[in-house]
Amino acid sequence: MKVTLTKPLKKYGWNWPAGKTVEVSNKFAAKLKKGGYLDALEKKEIKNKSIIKNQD
Amino acid sequence: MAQTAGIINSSSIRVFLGTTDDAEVVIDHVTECSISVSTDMRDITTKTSGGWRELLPGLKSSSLSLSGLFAEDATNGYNQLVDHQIAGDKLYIIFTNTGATAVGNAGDEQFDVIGYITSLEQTAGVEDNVGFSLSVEITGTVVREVIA
Repeated sequence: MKVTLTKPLKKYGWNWPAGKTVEVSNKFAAKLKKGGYLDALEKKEIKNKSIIKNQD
Repeated sequence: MAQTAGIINSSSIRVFLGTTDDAEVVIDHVTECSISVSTDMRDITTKTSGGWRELLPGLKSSSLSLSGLFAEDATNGYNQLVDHQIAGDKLYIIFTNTGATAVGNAGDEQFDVIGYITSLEQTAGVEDNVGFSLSVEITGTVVREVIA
């Protein structure tokens, strides 16, 4: 799952700045979401869905 | 999402790896990957076997290998892997079907294993891509689970 960090992550063996997009396992995505790192992901998913609808 | 119907496109299979459980990141620029589970067999043939060898399952083992292209700026590529090998890091690995959307397809099954790098090779020819190949020996139980 591709996610974009809303704040820096220096945990779990990774060291990434805010704004970095990475492809992570579903479990890691859930962990990041729980930790408040993925607010932008939810917005992006909604945006993508609306784009698909417009194309239909 | 429901379980994928039909034969799966091999490009959808991805390997995620990290040093912390449930904190795995996809290995970048992979061109091929495989996971193998083997079972050694115990020979229990006796004089009463009627001239045919008889077997029972014994020790099970597993290994994973992949090859890919080298990129200096990969998030999780050769540079990270060689650091793991030199440090002897215990690695948490997910071998999964992400489908075309790069999201693990809930309802399908995946491997969730722990292993150590036993071999990592970088190759560079003439006017060609720099590549790498990785071998991992799995330690402990091989978990086959439904993607949630």
